[in-house]
Amino acid sequence: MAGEERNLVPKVQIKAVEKIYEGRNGKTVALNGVNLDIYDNEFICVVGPSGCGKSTLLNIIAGLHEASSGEVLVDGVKVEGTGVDRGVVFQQYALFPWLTVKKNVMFGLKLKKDLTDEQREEIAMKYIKIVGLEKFVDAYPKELSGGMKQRVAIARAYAVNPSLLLMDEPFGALDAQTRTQLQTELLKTWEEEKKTCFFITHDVEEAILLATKVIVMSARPGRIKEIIDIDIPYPRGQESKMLPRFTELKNYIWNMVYKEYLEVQK
Amino acid sequence: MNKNKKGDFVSRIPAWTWTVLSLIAAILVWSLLSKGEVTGRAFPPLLEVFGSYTKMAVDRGVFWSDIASSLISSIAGFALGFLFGVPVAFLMAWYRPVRNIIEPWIQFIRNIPPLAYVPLVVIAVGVGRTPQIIVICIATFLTISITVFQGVINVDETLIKAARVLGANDSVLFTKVIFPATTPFIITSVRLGISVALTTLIAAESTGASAGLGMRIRALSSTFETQPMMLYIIVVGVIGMLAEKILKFFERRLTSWQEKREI
Ligand SMILES: Nc1ncnc2c1ncn2[C@@H]1O[C@H](COP(=O)(O)OP(=O)(O)OP(=O)(O)O)[C@@H](O)[C@H]1O
Ligand SMILES: [Mg+2]
Repeated sequence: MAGEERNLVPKVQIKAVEKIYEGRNGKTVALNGVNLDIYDNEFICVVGPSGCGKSTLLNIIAGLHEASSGEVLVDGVKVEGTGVDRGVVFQQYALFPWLTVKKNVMFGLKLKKDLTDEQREEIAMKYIKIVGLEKFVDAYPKELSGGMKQRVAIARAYAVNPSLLLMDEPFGALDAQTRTQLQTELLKTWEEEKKTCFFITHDVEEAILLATKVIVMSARPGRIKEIIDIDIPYPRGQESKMLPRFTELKNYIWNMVYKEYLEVQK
Repeated sequence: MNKNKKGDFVSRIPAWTWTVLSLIAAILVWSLLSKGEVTGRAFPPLLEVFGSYTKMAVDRGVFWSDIASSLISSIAGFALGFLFGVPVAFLMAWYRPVRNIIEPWIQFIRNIPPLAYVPLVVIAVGVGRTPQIIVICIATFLTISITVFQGVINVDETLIKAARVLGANDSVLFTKVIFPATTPFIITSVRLGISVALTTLIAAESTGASAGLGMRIRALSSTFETQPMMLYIIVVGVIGMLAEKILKFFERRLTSWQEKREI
């Protein structure tokens, strides 16, 4: 009962969000009236041409930027500033270079007053194991590859147990193989925990593979052009890409994104 | 980047060999210069230079007290400059008005040679050790505050964002992110500060000091005693190198996490 009831109230409500940047070359309307509801256990992937405001939207949900007008509610509460209920994974990893892998993962845990040191240690190790870096607990970020750094960043975000995970092109800087590997791992983790995710990517295949819903954004000023339910069955894996339905969705979404891309060129 | 392939002849020679070779070359060049009629006036034979140690240390008995006096002034001046410079740098980076109030003054005074404002300091506080310390303090403060300030405002924005979303408030952000991220700049500021403290010695000790390396170099130059003057100049350089060695030691411990070019 409780679960069903919760599902009726969106986890995230984005209401008429508008963002205008005032720069030296005048105003940039980055977002223009974005409305979106995200429900519990959804994996939302956002695609759209470069500069359409994807990162801006994510930053507003995270509380790192303020909307010029409109509002975002998370669990019914208006977003004002950051909060540990919303974890973020950045494209540039953003690991603290002076901390070891373990201390990076423990950064957020140390700020949680209700945990003992043993619990913090235990939680950190649990997530470091999940991302397969137990051999590197005492390594510094400079000693890790890009893929390993992003694994640490993901473990760090998971460790504080946010109820919503925001990811801005987390695999964007990685090579194809590492990317495929991390996609598969993320998919597996999501299938187990069903943590609500808001995931930005340029890669349409990645979006379809991971998402329960793909959001296509239109060229600047950014708005939501279409929401596509992804009906590829679970459990998914790289082999899901072979399904005819996958190809169909891919062509459909890709064409839509490409049209928006041409809009930008004009 | 090391362009020598591993194992080739050049890369197998231990690093210190080059330093020794460089020292030998310097001695040779010096010896040649000391033979020249014109250049010989500025470069007296090395043996005479080091021989003048007896004159300064034993006959006149000022060598070690000069070193001690200069060390006291520069360490005290540097320490004060550091103590004021670092917090001011953070305040400037943190609070915009503080920056707008202070930064123009720092930029204004920074390019004035210390020798120019030395008389003002003497008029204000009189002669003795105090004006020396004040002059060195001003010079190091300016360098340190500007360097650290640059470091603070260049802290990677995404690190600050990452800390915020993990639940960091302002004080955590400052102590756990901005401060450690700035350590390499603080070390650089110490490096520049030491150098400024030493190069300001002559100006600082022109305040009617009764001892000191800078004061002695000026005095010896006016009596054309080139040998001991050279000795003193070498001493200043050596002090600088020793300070750098000590700093390197701390740097290795504090910023080993930094990505550096492989050399
Ligand atoms: N701080 C800022 N000041 C001024 N303009 C900005 C700022 N941040 C973003 N913009 C502008 O807002 C628009 C949207 O930017 P945003 O970074 O959200 O795009 P994006 O969809 O994430 O692009 P990409 O796919 O390239 O990451 C762009 O036109 C950008 O130039
Ligand atoms: Mg972006």
